[in-house]
Amino acid sequence: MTEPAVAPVDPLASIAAFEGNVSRVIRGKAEAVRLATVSLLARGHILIEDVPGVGKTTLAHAIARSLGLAFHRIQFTSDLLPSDIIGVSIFKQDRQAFEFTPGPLFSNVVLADEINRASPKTQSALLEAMSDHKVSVERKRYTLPDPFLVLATQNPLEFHGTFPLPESQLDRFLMSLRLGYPPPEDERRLLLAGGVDGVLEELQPVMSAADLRTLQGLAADVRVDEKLVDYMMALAEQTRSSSELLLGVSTRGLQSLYRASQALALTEGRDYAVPDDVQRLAAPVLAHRVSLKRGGDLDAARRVIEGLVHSLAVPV
Amino acid sequence: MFFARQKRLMLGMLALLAPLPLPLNAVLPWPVLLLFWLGVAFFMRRAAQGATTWLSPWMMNLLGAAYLPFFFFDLTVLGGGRLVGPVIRMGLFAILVKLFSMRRERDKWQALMAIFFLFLASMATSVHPSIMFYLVVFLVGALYLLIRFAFLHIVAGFGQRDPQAAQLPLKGFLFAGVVTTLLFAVPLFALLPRVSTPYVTGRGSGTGTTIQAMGFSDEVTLDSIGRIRESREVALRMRYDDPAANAQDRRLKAATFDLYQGRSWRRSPVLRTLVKEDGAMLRLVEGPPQSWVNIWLQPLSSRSLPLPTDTRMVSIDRRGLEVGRGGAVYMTFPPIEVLEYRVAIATPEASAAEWPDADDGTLDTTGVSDRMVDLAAEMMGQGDLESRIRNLENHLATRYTYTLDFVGREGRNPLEEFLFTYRSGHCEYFASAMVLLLRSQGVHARLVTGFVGGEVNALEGYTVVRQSNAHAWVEAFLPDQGWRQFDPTPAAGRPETREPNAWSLATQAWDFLIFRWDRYVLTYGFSDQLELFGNLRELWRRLWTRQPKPAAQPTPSAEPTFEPETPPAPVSGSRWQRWLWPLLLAPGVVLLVGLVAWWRRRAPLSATRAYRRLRRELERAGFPVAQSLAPLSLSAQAGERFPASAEAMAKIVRHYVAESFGGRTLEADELGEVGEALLTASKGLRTSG
Repeated sequence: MTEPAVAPVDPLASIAAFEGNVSRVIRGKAEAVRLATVSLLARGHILIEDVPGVGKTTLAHAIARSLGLAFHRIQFTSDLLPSDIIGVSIFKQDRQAFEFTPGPLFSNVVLADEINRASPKTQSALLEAMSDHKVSVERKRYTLPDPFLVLATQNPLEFHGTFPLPESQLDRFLMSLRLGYPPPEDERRLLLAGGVDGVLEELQPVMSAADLRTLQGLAADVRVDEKLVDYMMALAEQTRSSSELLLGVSTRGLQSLYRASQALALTEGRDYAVPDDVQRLAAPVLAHRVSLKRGGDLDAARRVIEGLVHSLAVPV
Repeated sequence: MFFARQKRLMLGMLALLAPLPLPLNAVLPWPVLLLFWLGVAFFMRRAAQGATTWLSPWMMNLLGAAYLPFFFFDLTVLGGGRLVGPVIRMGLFAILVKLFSMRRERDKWQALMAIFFLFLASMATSVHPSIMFYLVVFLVGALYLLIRFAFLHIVAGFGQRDPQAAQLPLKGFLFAGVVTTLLFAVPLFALLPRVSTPYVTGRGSGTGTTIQAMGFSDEVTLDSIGRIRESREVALRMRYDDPAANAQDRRLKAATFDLYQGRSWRRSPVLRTLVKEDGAMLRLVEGPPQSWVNIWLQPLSSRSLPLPTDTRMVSIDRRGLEVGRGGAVYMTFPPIEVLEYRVAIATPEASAAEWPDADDGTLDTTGVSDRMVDLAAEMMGQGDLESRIRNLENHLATRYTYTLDFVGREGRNPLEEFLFTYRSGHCEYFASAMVLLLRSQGVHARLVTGFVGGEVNALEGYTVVRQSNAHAWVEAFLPDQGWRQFDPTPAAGRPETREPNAWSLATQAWDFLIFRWDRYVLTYGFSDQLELFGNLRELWRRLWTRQPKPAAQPTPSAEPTFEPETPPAPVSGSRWQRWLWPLLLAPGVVLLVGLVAWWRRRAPLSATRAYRRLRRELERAGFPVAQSLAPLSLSAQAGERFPASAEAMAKIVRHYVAESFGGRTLEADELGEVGEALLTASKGLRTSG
């Protein structure tokens, strides 16, 4: 993919406009919005692990609307079939041929709600689409639209009738994040305003798909110094040799950290990544990829990762 | 104050340049100047790093007070009573201390004045017009720096903090200085006539050894030579054209003494004034020369001109030389600089000599007691005159012991006590006793002082004769042979020709350097210039006429006067010479390579260094900087804790990440910004911490 040497858009301004737009509906969640943006710029998918009703769908909606992209929400249930999300080939009488009817996956932003409720078969269909940006139907491969962003959610408190995602599949998400409850002041304002639905409906696109692709190209060009690469590798090595972790970070995980750091640097207006970027992204990018020896939820994994970051010397 | 770093660097540069001519005038030894330069370089390094802690005024005063005892030591012992050297050394120390304790603007102007006076001193002691070249160069450089200084003041007065042209051209300045010196000053030095000014203490006197308290002098008591037998100071250096002659046990006769006065000797009266033959030669003994020797005499407090005992002719650029009755040559005044002369030597020919006058003092029996007459008769025994004298010589040399320990000898007649009570002494006792014993038996005899032996320098094959080679011996008159040399001192007490050993190599190398410096810088004079001109003319002629090089002229020593039965002795230095040069050069080369490597690797002021320094400063201010603290977080956290420095710290960190992670090379003005920010940040940290 060739990118124009000079970006037609001012990266900082368009990122600010985009984030401002999203923040109109996702109030008091600057960090989550920033991480979502980073994920978008790094061509990565987001796993939101949170209780219902904190704005996961709203976030996905806001992103889709701000970009002027197609958006689909898929509510995952245990009886959901792969064809329900990918699409089916239907025999067209008039043409005497099968014709593929794309499923909801064929859109730019997909909200895969409660992904852990679907059967492993369906999950793996989704995950293949996520990693390859392609789907296979009856020996034919169809390319998904670009950009393609999956926001998957799972409810950490419910285990009844769920199929937790295995580590290999979790690895396909660039980062995992929690929205959490909004700060009291913002929650209060939300209540008084009577919800955000009205605002959400009014949201106008502030960034075109072409702009986004340009920004993604810029992010991929961000300089990562060799010192910093060594630092990331040292961090990965720490997770692999940590006594608290059963499974460390994979090479793909390290790659994700690299790409996410590039994207974060871009959102901060730099054309080079710094150790701060890596430290800020370590928990969101790495926590869902490791498994704890003693068991525990994502929060526990985050704490372990944070601990490792705090024990590792930054290159000076 | 603004621009503190700049001003310090400028003053450091001026301080580096100001004393450069001093070693050329022999007012200051090179090691002292090197020490001074090291100190200034350290100061400049600290200034360039933007150091903010300098010596406090009380520390400066303490150092100044601490130097005073050393100054008196310097004046009395090291400087040998001369004022110029010690005062200039004190000045160097004062400038160093002042540089390190500059705080206010007034201090900087004071340091500038001190540097200027040092420069004046180095100019005032100049001996050569090439120094004028340096004067111009220095003044131009100083003017440039002073204009910068004033300019910085003016812009600082307008509240300007950020100088546009922040970098001082130090490297370029030094490089250009070295190159221009080599290109201009060295030829000027080599070719222009030398001048002496009345302010100059004299060429060579700085490294020379004019020693008032100790050393070879005209004053000869019974103890004068014994006192200097432990001194390693160089008295003279000599080089034989025929290197084989080096190995022989040469005696250099400095003075003869006829009159014994109970405790001391009086010199023989002057016989005649030497007149130069055909321009330059002073002939002492008739006959053709066999070999030549060059001698470089250090300034001793003696009028004697030490000459080999077999001297025939002397070529010397000095007037008013006189020959004493004993054959020694004396100058009108003791030289104040290194004196170079060339001597023709030849094996003395035995011939019937003229009988000395009865009243010339060589039979004077002052100090001879009856016991000594009896002793002499007993010791000399029977036989012809020569064997009787040999008997006496052997008797003294074998039955008496050599010592330099004279504890408790306060006697009235030291020689009698030497002969009958203590039976031990040093060379002057042996020689004096032998003279008196010979005279008691009617033999003409006199005391001779001079030097025996020396140390052959393996590097160039010249002989170093030190004060410790001073010796006294006896000349006695034999009717058929003339005056002959006798040495009654036991072999253990005679100074000997020393062979170089591994231990002495270092001293020899140092002496070699000193000798070269004396020879080619300090005593480089008119005759050298004539020779240089001659060589240049010859080179020029050969270049243009393209003539083959003329066959080597046989040197006087190469004339067929060699006796076949005495093959030249192997040069003692040759074995060393083969590997000594590489050995001597190796450390220099290693040092040079190391310096170059250090210079190249030495990181210039960079944002990374500033950031590291900021981390240290934060630690010092009580802000724990964890190893894992990333730069931007550090900037944010430290900024919260120290709001006064927040802006400056953010600036440093911004430049640091751009340099370290962004791969950017910072411009000079950005580096200046970083330096200033570092100063501001440190100041803020200290005030709030």
